[in-house]
Formats: sequence, structure tokens, C-alpha cells
Amino acid sequence: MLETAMLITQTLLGAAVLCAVVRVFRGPSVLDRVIAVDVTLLVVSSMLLVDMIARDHRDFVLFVIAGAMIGFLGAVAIARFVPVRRTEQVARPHPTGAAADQPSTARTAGAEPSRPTSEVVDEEDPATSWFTALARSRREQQRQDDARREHEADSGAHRREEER
Amino acid sequence: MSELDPILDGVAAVFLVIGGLMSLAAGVGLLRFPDLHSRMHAATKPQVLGLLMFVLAAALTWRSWELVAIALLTWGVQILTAPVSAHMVGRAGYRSRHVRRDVLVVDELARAVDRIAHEDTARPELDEDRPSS
Repeated sequence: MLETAMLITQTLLGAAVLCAVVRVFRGPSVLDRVIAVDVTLLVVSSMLLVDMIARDHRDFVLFVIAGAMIGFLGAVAIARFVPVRRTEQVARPHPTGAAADQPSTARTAGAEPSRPTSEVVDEEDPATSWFTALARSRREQQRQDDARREHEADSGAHRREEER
Repeated sequence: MSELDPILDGVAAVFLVIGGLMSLAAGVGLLRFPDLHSRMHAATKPQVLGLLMFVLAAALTWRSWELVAIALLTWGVQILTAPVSAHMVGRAGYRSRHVRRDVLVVDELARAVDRIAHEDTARPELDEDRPSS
């Protein structure tokens, strides 16, 4: 009985990995890819666990524990360094309504309080430029999407302002 | 004890299949959901529920306490770390405008951010891109 259960489960897990890989390939932003990679790692360690259960051995215990422990590090590290889209596309309404015309500077994604105000995020650090290039790969489409959504969000914002 | 074995194995098999279904649900959710935060919601299923099912199945089939402890350690580590990464990813996604506002019903965080930005004097260095009024 365990053998058939293992077959079914491994098939399901394989389908899940395939879906996650497709999302990594397609995912419009880095964060989508990070989530999908996270899920992939977890499903692979689940596969190891299922194999240990069905064949009754303990060879992969360390791999499963290590996978569960370090799986989140990648997501945290990448989320910290997500590049920022310029604020001319900011969708959030400002209560005064006057702020929309102001010249924009870059907004920091995970800004630490100690960051000096003069620093501009778009400056390229040679150590991380490959990452910026990767993250910008779908930028043009994001820009168009942003423009559309911003339009919709603006109308919603006016409604909310009137409620006040 | 020996007449209990087929029952335990059957329960373990059921747990295995349920865990596999959870993981598949996560994969399908990753494919089908429209934006980052709903995909994050789908991605939590194998992290917590699927892994719990597999760990329970392992505990049922191995029948050895130290291995059960190890399996539970795996699950506990996952429970502790999944919220951290979810928080970081969600925060970065919100701040870098990956929220799809057309599928949102209510955005309570936007109200709080607006209020803070409006009255704010507490931590002006966080608002370096806002006009100082």
C-alpha cells in the first residue's frame, strides 16, 4: 500500500515542481521567482522525505533538515535587495493631492533608517549589477501595467478622499 | 503490535497522498493566481500543511522516537522561518509596487501609510522622497 501511495505522491510532487518551474520562467518580477524557487526547494525536500518513508531508510534526513533551515535565507536576502521602480509611477495617492507633481526620487525598498538621504538607489554597484539587470528584464511591461493600474487606483483614491 | 502495522501504514499512505495534494495545490496556485501576494498565499501550503503531513507519515512508519524528534524539528524550523521570509517578501512587494490594486478589496496598510506620511515627524528619514511640508 505504501508503494502505490508513494507513486501517487511523487507524481503529485513532480507536477507541483513543474508548475513552480514554469512560474520561475514566466514570473513577471523577481519576487515571484523567489517564491517559486522557495516552493521548489521545499517540494524537493518533501520528495526526499517521501522516498525515505516508502523505502524505509534514513539517508536523506540531513538534507531535509538543511533544506528546511536554509530555504528562507534566499527569499530574505533577495527581498532585501529588490530594486525599486521610480516614483513617477507611484500609485498611492497623497492626501494633500499636491504631491503628485513633485519631482521624484527613488524610493528604497527595504530602507534602513540610517541610509543617508542623498543616496540614489539606482546607482549601480558592480557587485550587484547582474542582479539589477535580471530584475529589470521585464521592466517595460511592468511600466505599462503600472500606468494602467495607477489610473484605476487614482479613481479609487478620489472616491476615498471624498469619504473623509 | 504487529496487527496494528497495516493500520498505521494505511494512515501513513493517506497522509502521504494528502501532502502531495497540498503541494500540487501550491504549484497550481503559483501558476494561476494573479499577483504576488496571492501567490504567496498559495506558496504557504507545502511549507506548513504539506510538510506536516509528510512528517506525520514519517513518524507513523518509522516508529522510532529519535527519528520522530528529528522530523518534528524539521517542521518546527519551517514554522519558525516561513513567516520571516513571507514578511520580507510581502513587504518588499508592497513597497516596490507589485500590488495589483484592481484585485484588492481593501488596503488597510495604504491608509496607515498615508496617515503617517501626512502627520509624520517621528522618523523623517524614512520619507526622504516625500516633499517636506
